[in-house]
Amino acid sequence: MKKKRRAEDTKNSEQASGPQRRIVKTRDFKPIDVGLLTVTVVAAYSIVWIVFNQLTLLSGEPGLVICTVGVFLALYWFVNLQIYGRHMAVDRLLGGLVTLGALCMMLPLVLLVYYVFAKGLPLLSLNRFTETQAGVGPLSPISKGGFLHAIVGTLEQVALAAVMGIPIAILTAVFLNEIGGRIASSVRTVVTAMSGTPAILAGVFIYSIWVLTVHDYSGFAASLALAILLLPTVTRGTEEVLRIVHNDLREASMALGAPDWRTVWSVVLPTARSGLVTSILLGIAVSIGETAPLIMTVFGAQVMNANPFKNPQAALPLVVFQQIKLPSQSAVALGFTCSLVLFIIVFTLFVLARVLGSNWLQKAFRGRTKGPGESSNEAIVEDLMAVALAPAMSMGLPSDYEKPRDEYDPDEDTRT
Amino acid sequence: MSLVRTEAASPSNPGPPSDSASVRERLRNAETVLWHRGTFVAAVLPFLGLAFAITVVAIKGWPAILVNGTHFFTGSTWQPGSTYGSTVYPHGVATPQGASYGAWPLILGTVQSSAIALILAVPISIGAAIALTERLPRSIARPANFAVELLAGIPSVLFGLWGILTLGPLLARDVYPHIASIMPDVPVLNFFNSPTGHGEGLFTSGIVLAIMIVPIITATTVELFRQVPSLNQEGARALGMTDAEVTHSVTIPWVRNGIIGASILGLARALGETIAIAMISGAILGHTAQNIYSPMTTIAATIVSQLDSSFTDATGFATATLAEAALVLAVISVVVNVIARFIVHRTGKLGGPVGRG
Repeated sequence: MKKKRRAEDTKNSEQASGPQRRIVKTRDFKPIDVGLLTVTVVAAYSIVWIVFNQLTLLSGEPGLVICTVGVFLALYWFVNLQIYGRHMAVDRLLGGLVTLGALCMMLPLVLLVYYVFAKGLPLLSLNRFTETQAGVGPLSPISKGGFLHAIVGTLEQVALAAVMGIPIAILTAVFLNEIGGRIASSVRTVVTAMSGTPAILAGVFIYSIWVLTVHDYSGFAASLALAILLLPTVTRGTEEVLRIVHNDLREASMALGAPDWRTVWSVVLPTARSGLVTSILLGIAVSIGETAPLIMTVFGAQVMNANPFKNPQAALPLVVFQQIKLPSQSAVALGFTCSLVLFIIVFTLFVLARVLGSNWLQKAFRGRTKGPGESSNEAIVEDLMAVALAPAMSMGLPSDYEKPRDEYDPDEDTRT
Repeated sequence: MSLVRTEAASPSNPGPPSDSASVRERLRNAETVLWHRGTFVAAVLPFLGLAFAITVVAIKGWPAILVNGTHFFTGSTWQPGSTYGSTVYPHGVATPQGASYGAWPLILGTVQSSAIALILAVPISIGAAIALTERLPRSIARPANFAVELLAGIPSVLFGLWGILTLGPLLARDVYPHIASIMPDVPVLNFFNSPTGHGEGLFTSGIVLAIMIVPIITATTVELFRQVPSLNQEGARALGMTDAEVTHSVTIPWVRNGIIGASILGLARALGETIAIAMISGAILGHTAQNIYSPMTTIAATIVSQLDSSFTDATGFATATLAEAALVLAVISVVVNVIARFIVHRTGKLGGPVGRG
């Protein structure tokens, strides 16, 4: 009996095919499982293709894809049931379902990016960046006209918004995290509420108090609205970063006799520098794409207006929104190229935020904090942690200051 | 505080009289006080700003609130009145003759499209969050996390562009007719019956909204999942649970409230989305959606699409009505956000989803 069982165990460890009494490791995903997955996908597609196109004469790619996915899940469950048993089959099925969720989320991104590039790239040329829409009419050739005026407008509006919004945002975050007090939690609630309030409301607000008062659309009005929209994003990002700065650094600074503002200015903010850059860039990236408040504040223009304080200006998202609806070839072409440029700008800002925020600075400190190559797969929070602690490390403090994030003590959390 | 410090400092360095030292102390106190006051003012600015904004919009919309009354919430007409007729003065407010505004279709459209978006987005987001934190290898999950943030930051005008030119026609050709053909003619499901339209309407808006809020819900949920103590998960695994069972019996119960809160955050964004909906909804006024494919409009989209024509009303009543609509939207979204905040806050810290409407 015993011998038989051992023989069975050995057999199981060699190949997992025995019907019972074997160790199931659901985390294992061996090459054979990859093969299984591939075969199941091919089988599902073949079955659906035969039924769909040959037997029932249904049509349309979306239906084909949906049916394939359904058949694949059923087949995958059944095959795993046959090979590994019920327990594992359910796990694999659910794994397939959640991965499908991730795919469903990614698919629109891929399609959207493909669409924007496919439409915009053939129409993009150098003159788009050097011309405005001045003198472009319905009968103009498709390549005529550019969005220099919109680039200038967007740059000025976003720069003004950043100048107004970011200092307030950072001060608010510093107040919430470093000073706190009774009012902090209600301020935090308001900031969160602001980050969720519709962008159009900022437009209506600025329209009511500024545009109707001075009787003029202007880039400045738009930058006021954008600053309102930028504020909560930057505040919350900054606050998250400031929370990661270790308390020992603050205490060390205070022990040296630095006043509060000095501690924040010389220790906390420089330590969180890369994270600050990230949250600022993310805030700018988000506010660059806003369209709704711009309609009510800058109104849009087709010629250059470099003065942000007077008269309507153009802006990139506004050009997309307005030109794409016009019944003129050149206008639609401009709208598509503009959407491409807008996407590239937003994408670049996001990449910059990530690169400046984590990898680049972290590489500079990596020699001192971690083994080489160890951190390539780490989460960004951990990256920030390493950067934040690098000065402490280099000052020769004991290395157990590097707490894993899981052991973060909620009692230390000043926010609660 | 300064007194204590001066006294404590003077015995230790008795040499020079504490004149310059006390000046320094006083300066230092002044700068501490200044620092506290300054950051306090900066922190209260958003608070005041929000209150001020709502007040301004309310003042702007006050004539409309007076004249429209409860008809604004129950009526379905969107009638700017005769621009050439004589001005009438109900409640002392100048309005064009025959002006009558009812926002019921807008309110209903906002609720319907957001509900569709939420129903589609929540399962996908939870699945994606589980996949990103527990299933996929890190080499895939990390770029995927970046893609989630990017997706949340893509300008909504691009979603609108894509939705109206590609997604809407595709759905109207290949998906809607099939859905309509399999739905029976019974009370609830006949909302899905034909005519299926041309792709500009409630269902397409709901789908695009879902695409826009999925990354927000996912990013917040991923943050929440990361806070689940790994000891609990490892313990469950040590008991022999599969990944699916660990997720089902440890991870999800731990963050259930947080997921609800994250969904409500997504809902808040869906309620306020403007440009994409203005492009995709079909922007019809005065009618509620007859079936799920029919054109509709939302509060935010109406504000944008009716702004131009409201300028033709010389009495300013149309603009005031739009301000009233904005006020309704502001109240709805602030309430929804605060509720979400409270629910998430009880679970743990809120992750920072980026992007907005």
